[in-house]
Amino acid sequence: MNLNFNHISINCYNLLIILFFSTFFCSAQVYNDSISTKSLDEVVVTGTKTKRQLSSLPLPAKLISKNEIDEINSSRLKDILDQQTGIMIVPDFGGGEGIQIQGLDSEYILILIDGLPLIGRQSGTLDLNRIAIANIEQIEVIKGSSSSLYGSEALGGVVNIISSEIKDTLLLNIDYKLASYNTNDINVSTGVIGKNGKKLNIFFNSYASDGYDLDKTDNINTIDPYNNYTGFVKYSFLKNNLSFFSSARIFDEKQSFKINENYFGDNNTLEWNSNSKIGLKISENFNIESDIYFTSYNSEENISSAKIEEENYFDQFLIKSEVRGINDFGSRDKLIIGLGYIDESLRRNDFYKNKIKQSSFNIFTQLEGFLSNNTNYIIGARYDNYSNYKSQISPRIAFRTKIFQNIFLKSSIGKGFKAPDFRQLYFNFSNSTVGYSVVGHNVVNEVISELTESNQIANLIVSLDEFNNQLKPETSLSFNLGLNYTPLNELKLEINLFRNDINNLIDYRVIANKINGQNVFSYFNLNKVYTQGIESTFNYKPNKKINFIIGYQFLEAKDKDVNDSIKNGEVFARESSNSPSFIMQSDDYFGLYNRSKHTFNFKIFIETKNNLKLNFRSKYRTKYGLFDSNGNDFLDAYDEFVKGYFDIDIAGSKKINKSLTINIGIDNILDYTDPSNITNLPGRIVYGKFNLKL
Amino acid sequence: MKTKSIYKLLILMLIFSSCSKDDDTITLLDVVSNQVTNLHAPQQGGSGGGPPTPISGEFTKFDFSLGSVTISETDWDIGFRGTSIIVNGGVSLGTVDEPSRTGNAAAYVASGTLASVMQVDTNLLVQDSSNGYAIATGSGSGWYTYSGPPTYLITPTPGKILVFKTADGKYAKVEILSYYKDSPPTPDYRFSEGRYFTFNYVYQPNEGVTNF
Repeated sequence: MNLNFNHISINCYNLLIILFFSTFFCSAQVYNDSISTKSLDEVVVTGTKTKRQLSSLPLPAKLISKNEIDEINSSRLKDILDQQTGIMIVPDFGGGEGIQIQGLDSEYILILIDGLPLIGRQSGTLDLNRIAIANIEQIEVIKGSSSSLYGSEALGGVVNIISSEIKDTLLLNIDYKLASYNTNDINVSTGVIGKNGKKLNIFFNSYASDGYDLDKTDNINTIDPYNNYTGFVKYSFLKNNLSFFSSARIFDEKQSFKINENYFGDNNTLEWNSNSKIGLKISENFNIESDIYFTSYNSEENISSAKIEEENYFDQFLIKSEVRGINDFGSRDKLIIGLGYIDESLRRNDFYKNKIKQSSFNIFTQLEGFLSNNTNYIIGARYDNYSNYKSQISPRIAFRTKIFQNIFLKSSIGKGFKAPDFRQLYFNFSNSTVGYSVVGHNVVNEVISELTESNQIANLIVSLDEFNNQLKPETSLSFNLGLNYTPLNELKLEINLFRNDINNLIDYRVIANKINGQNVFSYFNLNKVYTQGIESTFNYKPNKKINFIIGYQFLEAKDKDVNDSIKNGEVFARESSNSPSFIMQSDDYFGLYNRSKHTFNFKIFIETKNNLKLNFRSKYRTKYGLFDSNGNDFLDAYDEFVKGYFDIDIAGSKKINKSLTINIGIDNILDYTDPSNITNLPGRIVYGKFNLKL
Repeated sequence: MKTKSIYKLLILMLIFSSCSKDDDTITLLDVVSNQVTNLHAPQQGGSGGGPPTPISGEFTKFDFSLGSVTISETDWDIGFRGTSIIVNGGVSLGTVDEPSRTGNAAAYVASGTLASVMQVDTNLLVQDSSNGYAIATGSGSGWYTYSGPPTYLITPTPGKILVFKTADGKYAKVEILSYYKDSPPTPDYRFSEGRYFTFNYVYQPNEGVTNF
């Protein structure tokens, strides 16, 4: 069913491309418009869903420019994000790499391309390796909850990738990068500007790598060889009061892997998305925008051994449409009101139902105003209505004001939420080797009665009545307080304090014992956690050719219930996993997994004469724990930790002539590896790259 | 170190208090405090590659009064097979090779350190039944925590003290320290051999005395 649909969609997609080309070339005539609107101030869209100056935005925001992406020769989205203060890239066990912001995991961070969400979170993580970035204009990151504009998943922040747009009569841009582990990265982009603001952009990326093996003692690779392709087409025009924008993207990845001596498999991922946006200028001050977005993510995995053939699949489909009215009151005050509809479906193995569907609608509004030149605010809220669980209202208020010469204060407070994912609701999984089962909250009654009928249940631990209540969305209260201090034009200091209080965190616990001695687990709203910390960036740019950046983040992320239990003397620990237990003290509790208390980064970008550019980047994270090793189920001072480490990269580029630039660089120059704990850090990588602009 | 001196103190106190109470009665026996290492508890079937088959294999039986493993079919207090622990009291759960219960043993899981559990709460004692064992099976419900990926280790849950009534009505408390052979401080599922129990126990050999 779904596969068929998929085929149709791809055909549609081809059709769309043809359509774009034909509309474009019918009226094509290269149009030389010397638009030189080089504004000194950077512009972002993520904070308000409209174009807006970054400098006065009252939210904790960060913009990563095309320049920086180019200078560090990043290939995938994770490469560039990993270098930013307050952003961590965390590997998951499935081989994906997710983002962590303000101590909140990938599941709570929305990843957008041109304002629209990526899907395909098989185990919660959105793998940042999927995203090629050679065609990106800038990356916008808003930290803290943005649910007031974006709804579910924006609980911890939003990363919005803005695709680049052709600027002059450039015909062709070609990149080729060859790196260690036989990694070949090819990027081709082209575009044409036509009359009436017609613009066509085409981008293609091919990425292939032999993967790597950090642990030579076993017979399997850390990362098996893989290759992928990305295609992206974007078309836009402006005519009188009408603006039109449409884009389509496709991503296809193949990987063959070996689980152990006897188990082999291959994985095929196909993702596409298509987005159309129409803007209509009704009057001088009033605009209407409407977009419709389709996206599909299919992953198929075949595992085979002499005995077993296993097929895993994950087919997700999403339609999202939104209408926004934007009223500009002049004097920079703006009001936006939007209405949206989202329809989502998922078909995957180990689900109780063959196909899960869910639809929701939402309404949001945000008012942005300036009380004076130096004081402005944002106030907004969004209502999300779900059929399966409690509807959510997510308000946010933010303001910014000058408190002293060169010192601005920014503060925001907002509610965030994340709807339960389909796995937590419909999972029906039994581990074939160990024999335990995991059951989604909504299907516990059905699955337990099936297991009881087949005499697999020894006794129930949780009454089935508990499952008549719906699982609640996870909610948060996010608070940010920041200072921006600019003592000199070339010196900038930013400090931001953050705190996120999350309630109703969904986790699993035992609901029944099976006769095979194993347990049945299901999902509940269980924990209350918080993350808090300080993030600071120091930027010194003595002249146009040198840029120093120092960043630091302090982070504390803990479970409140664990804190309480420790205070009550109910928590025990062991010094090693074979020694007697003792009552744990509060100081012994380290906090949530995979979070370092301190992270530092230091970057220098230098431009010398002769068109030579050099940069040095380093990041250090202090120790962190990945799992409990002494049996009390959380991380304490007596557990095993992953040692703190440095990741240092250097790169240089030389512009040979107007059209050719050559880059070389070394990533992880110290060749630091930790095979069992840091699977996403290969050894030293040496690369060379050339860029051809024609 | 600290715990050991507490035991000594406790034992002294017991002896002292019992002596001072009444000089004519028989002096109570000393509380036994000991460590058992590498009690092998093999099992067949169950998990471990391929679809699970019914668990089978003899339980390794332990007798607190002997302070050692026994092959007696009647004089035993607790039995081990894989991660399952049974008591010689109540009814068999009905698994393959499970011994019939001949005694009056019972058990419960207390929270604390071995030293801090000083008194048996006899109201909490339960026996094995056809619905489940007195010491519940499964990760997090009985005596151990299974870490799952990526370490795949069975670790005794800190603060879980198993309190037993023996087959002949005396009391003992047990803290399991390790499930792996020679109790390595940092076991590794690839190399460490499981189903070898190391535990500390305190046995109260005096009839009807519920403290340690």
